[in-house]
Amino acid sequence: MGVRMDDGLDDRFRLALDSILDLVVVERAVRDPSGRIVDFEIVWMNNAPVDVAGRSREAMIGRRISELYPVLAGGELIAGYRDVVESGEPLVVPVMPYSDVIDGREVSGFYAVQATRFEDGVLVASRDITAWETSRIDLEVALRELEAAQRLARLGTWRVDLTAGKVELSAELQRMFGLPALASGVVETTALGAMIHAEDRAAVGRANGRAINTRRSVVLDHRIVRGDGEVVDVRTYTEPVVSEGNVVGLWGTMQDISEAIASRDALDIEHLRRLAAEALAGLASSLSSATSRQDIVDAVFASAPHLGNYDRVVLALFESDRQTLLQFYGGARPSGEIAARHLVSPLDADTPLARVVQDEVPLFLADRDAQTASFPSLRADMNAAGMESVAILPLHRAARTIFGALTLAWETPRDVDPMTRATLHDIAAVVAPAAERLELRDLERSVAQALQMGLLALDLRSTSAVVRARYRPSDSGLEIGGDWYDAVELSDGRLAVAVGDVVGSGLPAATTMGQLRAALGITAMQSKDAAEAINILNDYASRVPGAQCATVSFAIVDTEHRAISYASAGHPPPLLATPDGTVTYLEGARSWPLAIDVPRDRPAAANAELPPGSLVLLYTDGLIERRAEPIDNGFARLKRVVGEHWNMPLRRLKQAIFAELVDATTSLATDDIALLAVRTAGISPFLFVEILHADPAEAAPCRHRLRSWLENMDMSDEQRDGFLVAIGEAVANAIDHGSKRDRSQIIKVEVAARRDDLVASVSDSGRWQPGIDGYFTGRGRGHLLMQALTDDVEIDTDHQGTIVTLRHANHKRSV
Amino acid sequence: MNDVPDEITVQHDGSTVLACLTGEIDHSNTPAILEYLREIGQNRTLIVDLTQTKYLDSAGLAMLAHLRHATDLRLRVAQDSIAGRVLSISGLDQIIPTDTDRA
Repeated sequence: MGVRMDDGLDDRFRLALDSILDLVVVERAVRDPSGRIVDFEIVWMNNAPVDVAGRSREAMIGRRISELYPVLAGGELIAGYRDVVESGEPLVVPVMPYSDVIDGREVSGFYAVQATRFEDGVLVASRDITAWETSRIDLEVALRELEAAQRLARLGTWRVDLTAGKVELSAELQRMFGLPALASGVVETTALGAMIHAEDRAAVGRANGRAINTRRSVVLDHRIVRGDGEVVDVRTYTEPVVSEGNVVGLWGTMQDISEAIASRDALDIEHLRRLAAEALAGLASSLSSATSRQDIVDAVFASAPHLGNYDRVVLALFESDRQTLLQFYGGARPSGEIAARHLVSPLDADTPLARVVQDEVPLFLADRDAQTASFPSLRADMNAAGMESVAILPLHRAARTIFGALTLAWETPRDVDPMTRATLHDIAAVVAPAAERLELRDLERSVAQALQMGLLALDLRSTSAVVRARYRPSDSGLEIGGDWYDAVELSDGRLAVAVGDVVGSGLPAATTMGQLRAALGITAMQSKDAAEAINILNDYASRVPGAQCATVSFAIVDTEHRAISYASAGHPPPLLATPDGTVTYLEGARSWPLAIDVPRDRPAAANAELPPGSLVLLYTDGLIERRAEPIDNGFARLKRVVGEHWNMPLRRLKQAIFAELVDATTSLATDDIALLAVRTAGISPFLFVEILHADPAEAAPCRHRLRSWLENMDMSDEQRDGFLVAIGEAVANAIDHGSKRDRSQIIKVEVAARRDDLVASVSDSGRWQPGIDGYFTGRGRGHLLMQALTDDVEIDTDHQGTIVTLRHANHKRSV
Repeated sequence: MNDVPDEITVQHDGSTVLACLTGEIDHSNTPAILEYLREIGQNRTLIVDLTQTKYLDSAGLAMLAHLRHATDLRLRVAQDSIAGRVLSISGLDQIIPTDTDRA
């Protein structure tokens, strides 16, 4: 832990970075004799296959950027990296075109590059966005071609904003009407109406009314009278613009058909193709801002009127296990039962979807008969789904690997002609990069979280206290931060707990955080009290780059002597709730942050009494600090919330704290947050806390103590017996399934007597998959008994284990 | 024959054997109790008396469900007792003949 390698990276970071698809490179500044940065040398890089010339990392590590990428020598990118090193400001290049000659071969592409300062150099993440950028450029070219085609075909587009009473005309349409060229192309609807041939105005009005009422496109041949008095035959296609269920506008095309009436069919196809091209461009633009898979299917569904009139959209994407597809629906959702059966669809079943992602070719089923003929076993579901024609298109990543499929379906049978097929392929081609972008985002997020979880794992086997902790990254997304927590059981059974905060964010902060955390863990084992541990940590921190101004709150919980020793270096004070419900901040032994030069000694450790069943909370400032509000408000809020929920099982307490201090006070958490809660075991009037080994023999004695504690509660014998069996079931499950009867595992039993109810929680450190086939099927009767004998049962599994929470209502606490 | 588990007192009456389970039945003691009851219930009618039982959980239910296949099993429970409620929640009292003692 915290071993410093030449490249400045922790082993676990290196491992995690290797699993990222993007290229991540650590580069060290190369300076000339005067100290000026002239180049960068690759110190380490991950294994992402993104090098433009396909070189291996072994061939690149140790070499300079200017020799690896000749065109970059002395150029802007190296200058940009230099600025990053000198200013500390990150560099973001959203689109970097690159073309070069490497080993005699021409290479080119587009890359997104981000660089942040790291040690004496930069940490660079770059992504190959060639496919995305190329398709964007293709689209722009297509739009320019469209404009040229409009001129040739004497065809223009128009758009009516019904609320504003304005019409926008394309350049070609202004020419057709013989209008002077307008910069905006916007005219009043009434002015344009006057240019429609008097005998045709009623028909045009009816056609517009039909488009609005039916929300479908309408085509009408009519005449217009140009500004110079010439009458022109035109064909107008009108499409309604629907927003939130209302028609807010109309748009369409108008073509001069006076010379071209004969080529009617060609015209129809041409028109539809142009409509589709425009709609596709609109779809691509809304997909580029999609932030969820649901956004993607919603956008595809919204484009249906111009892109094939499909009635349902289903986006199916591989889950990380690559064995199942997760589905997202646009348009009407299938009924609950069908959705439940297909929401997660396994690849080994013979379904249309599985076939498409395995064969990687599109599948078109013309109607229900074709569906059931190809997939007889799915007849019932297909009939219930109510779709006739179905088109399923494989979705490929830029690297040509398959990662899902897009299904478009129609309620009425439809002839999927070559033109429609081409449009559907185009849709898939714009959906795939959008879905891939989200996939990469999630991957980065999960890698960052896995890193954080790896660093912040708690593996406590203490039977003297329950410890739960939570790290919540800031909402800014991918960043991992510098907040941390730790809990270590000392050899004499005392428990050392700490929460700290390192300045900065991202990988460098996380690296420093990992070093301090490890150092404090070892220091704690050798220190006589909290203050000494902080002093030793301070000495160490002054030698760790990036540790300056880090803060830490540290406490040693001694359950045997019912005492806590604590000290804080520049950190908000811990909060203590004793089992009579008194809540106080532990404000002693406060000093300044670590690794800053102060010519004074830090204070001696402070001590407080810690009766059994006490709660101690350590946290970072992100929990209490809110912009535009004095920090005292945050302290008061935390004290109030803990005062209301102090005896709740720790998971519930933690949920209440985050709900009331974070979710209710800010829509966007700008700082990361670490919270650690310790509750000492013990029995007090309002709280029962015991920690057992996962041994069936320990269940009965615990139950007996719980029974006598419950005898002080206002409940009938029957209620008490029932509640005991329910809790006993949870304990038995935790021993058998959560801990696999491994006696070294521990099980925590917390029961709170509140004003109107009793809340019990039983937690273990087991890891299993939640879900229908999860935990409780083996003991179906146990689950049934818990349900029948309590008022509420909640089962949660997270990375710290499984927790069963049981509630008995209508209890009256005798105060 | 195994030792008699602490929780059981037994009375024989011809081809019928009455086993009274006192105390608590949970998954720490069900394996031993099951083995013992299966032995004494062989080729007999076994009446398991749960009127003195203070605690009965799903492990106890699983034990009774197993026992039903090994012997001609009958149960006695006290009305409104925890054992009676647990049996009735599980529906086991519908498939094993059960006498309910009314208090």
